[in-house]
Amino acid sequence: MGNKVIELYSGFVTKFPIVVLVLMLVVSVFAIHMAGTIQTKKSDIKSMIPQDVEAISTLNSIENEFGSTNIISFAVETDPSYKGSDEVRDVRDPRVILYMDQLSMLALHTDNVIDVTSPASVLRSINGGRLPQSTREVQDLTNKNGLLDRSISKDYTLALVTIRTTDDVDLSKLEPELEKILQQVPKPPGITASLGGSVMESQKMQQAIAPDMAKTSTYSLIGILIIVLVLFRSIKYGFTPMTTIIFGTLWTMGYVGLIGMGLSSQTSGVTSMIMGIGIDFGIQLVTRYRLELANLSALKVQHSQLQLGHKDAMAVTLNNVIIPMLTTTLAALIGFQAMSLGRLTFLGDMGTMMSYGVAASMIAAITIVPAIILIIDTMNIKNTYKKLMNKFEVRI
Amino acid sequence: MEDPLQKALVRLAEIQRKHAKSLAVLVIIFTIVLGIGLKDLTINSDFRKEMPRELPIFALNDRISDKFGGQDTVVIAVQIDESVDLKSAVRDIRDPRVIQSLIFLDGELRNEPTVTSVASPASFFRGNETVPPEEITQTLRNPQANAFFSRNYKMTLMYVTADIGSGEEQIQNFDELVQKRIDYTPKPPGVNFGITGGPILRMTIFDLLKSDAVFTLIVAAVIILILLFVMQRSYTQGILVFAPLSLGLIWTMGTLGWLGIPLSVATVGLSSMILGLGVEYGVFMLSRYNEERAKRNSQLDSLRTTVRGIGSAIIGSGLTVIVGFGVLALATVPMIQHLGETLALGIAFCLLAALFVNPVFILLEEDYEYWNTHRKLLKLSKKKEEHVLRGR
Repeated sequence: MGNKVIELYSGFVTKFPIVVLVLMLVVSVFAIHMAGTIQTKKSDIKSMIPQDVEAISTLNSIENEFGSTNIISFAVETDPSYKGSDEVRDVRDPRVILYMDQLSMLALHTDNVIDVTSPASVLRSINGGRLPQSTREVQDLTNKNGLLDRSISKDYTLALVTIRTTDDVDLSKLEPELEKILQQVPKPPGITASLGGSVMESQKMQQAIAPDMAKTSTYSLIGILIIVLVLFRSIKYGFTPMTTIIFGTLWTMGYVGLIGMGLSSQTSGVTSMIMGIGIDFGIQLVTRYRLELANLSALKVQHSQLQLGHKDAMAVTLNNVIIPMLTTTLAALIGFQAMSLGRLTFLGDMGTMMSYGVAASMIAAITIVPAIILIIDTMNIKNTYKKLMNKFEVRI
Repeated sequence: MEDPLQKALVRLAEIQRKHAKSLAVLVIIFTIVLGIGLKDLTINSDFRKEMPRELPIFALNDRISDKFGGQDTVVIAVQIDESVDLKSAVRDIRDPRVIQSLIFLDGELRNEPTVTSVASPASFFRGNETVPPEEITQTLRNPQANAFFSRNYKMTLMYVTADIGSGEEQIQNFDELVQKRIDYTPKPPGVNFGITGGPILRMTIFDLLKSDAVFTLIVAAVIILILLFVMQRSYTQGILVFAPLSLGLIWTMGTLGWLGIPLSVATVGLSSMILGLGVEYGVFMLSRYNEERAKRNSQLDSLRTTVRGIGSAIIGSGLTVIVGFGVLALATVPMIQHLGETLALGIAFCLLAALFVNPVFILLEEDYEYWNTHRKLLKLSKKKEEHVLRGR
């Protein structure tokens, strides 16, 4: 039964390669459109850990009670350039306290900021609403209790202005705003200030995704092309399997865009992986086809009355490679989906995306690749073009 | 003129046919040597090691962590338990009895050498010999104290910062220490003490990594094996594909152990992925060999055709997979780098297993089948002779 279906399919593909190619190109046009809608998404570590674990449920309770735990910091550090200068060497210096107070005020009036805590705000609250005016006064106040332990480091070289944002904050919009504040507020001498906090890490990683993907995909494509050209020692048969990964990757990305999955730092390398895996199918098909062609030549010598050609070679190829391909595709899908079965789902999205990639590459290998090979091997492109032109020629 | 690769593959097929048993012994020895590395395979649960720490933001956050102990901060959440139906149960987390508990816990934790700082509402009462309830109520009116309380006064937090170190055992010990101190702390009725934070989450991840690594491997192995039984329509044929694949996996994991490369959040699913991807080479090898044997070709001819035809194809496709994964070593995120490197290694071993082990196993299995069939036939012939002699 299975073999009958495969034979019917291979018969169809070898008989109507142009129809198959056109159909797949239509699918590809839609895939290109959908791939354009893919967005990068934030990698939320917490969401990758099972929620029924006590440490996570406690963390969730804290979030529920205290609101967002999206914390960004202005990290204010001492960085004196000259020995013996009057540059700041202790973040408890009133000039730094005043500077942090100004940063806090401006940050508080930025969209999506819930509240801002800084050494300045703590000192105000324990000093009757005013900022201390001397280092001694600051030292006296800070030594009183441990309230500043979490915003001034023990060696007094680093202070933090803590900015709590809403859960749904768009960091790509907030980051430039906060950077602008850092640039606008004049710094005391010997001080550097920059944006910190774990939330910003994911933002910076997101920014690295696109160039990363472009780089790894390009190198992957070049490496694969070299291997395939060396393997087949033929431009035609070297480039043909490449269509497997070009279309396979395109359809995968189209589908990812269609379901609104988005790309994260975990899935940033998925394109090059899909390419590496997907090319297999193209190579297997082309290798087998070339072997069958060689067998046909031998048969023709022995039996000159037989009318066998490229289409027969492709039919035999498809009949013999579809089952092994299907087996390996299913096995790969099982392997990738098993990654999502664990309680940690760090690479769950990657597994899912690679499953789509393998499936798409297999489909490309049994549709696009045989169609293109047959068109190239059996059709006289020049004559076909002339015929088409003659058909559409306006007769006067 | 035949190309050198094809020539070499034909030669390999001939060697495999001639020395199948010796090669099988070599494979076993090789597997034992690499397998010894399995005992040195470790698990790293430090998520930060999988992050691009050369980016300025990571360097800054590491500095912040060093100065404030952010990575090693345990958060103790004290929350009202609404389910407690007692008159004396706490209904406001600022209740002096709760604060007294925190003062006790604060003192206990600050006595620990690893603890560098403790911050909680108890911080306001440090240095006081006794703290009467009125003083607690008065002091907690300070707006600064509100930072430690939730808006509805159902929860308060204690931040315990420590210098633990990076080893799993040290973290485990510290977590247990904090938990013990919490257990010993006298608590009023109607409050729960929860514990979370970096070290706690890390130990959680460590435990999950261990169980996940085994679980995903077993699930993938069982399902793939069943799939092979179904697709090959034979138990022995299914095992013929699966056995070399398993060896490839043992070699990979053993090598990681030998090289001291730990399993991490990035590579925990490695085994299932290698099984899923590596199975291809064995399937193509076996199906082509069976195809050739079905044509009534001899073992040697069939093996020549298979190793030459499929061998060159799987070398090509294996190399492309290795390239596809290998280029991930150029990614910015170490998590992706490590995944790519280990997968490339795994695929390389699966490829070697398919080229060198699969044909040997195929031959040995076939020889065994022949021998077993002849043995049974001999047995039945003797029985038949006996029946003939006895008559009916």
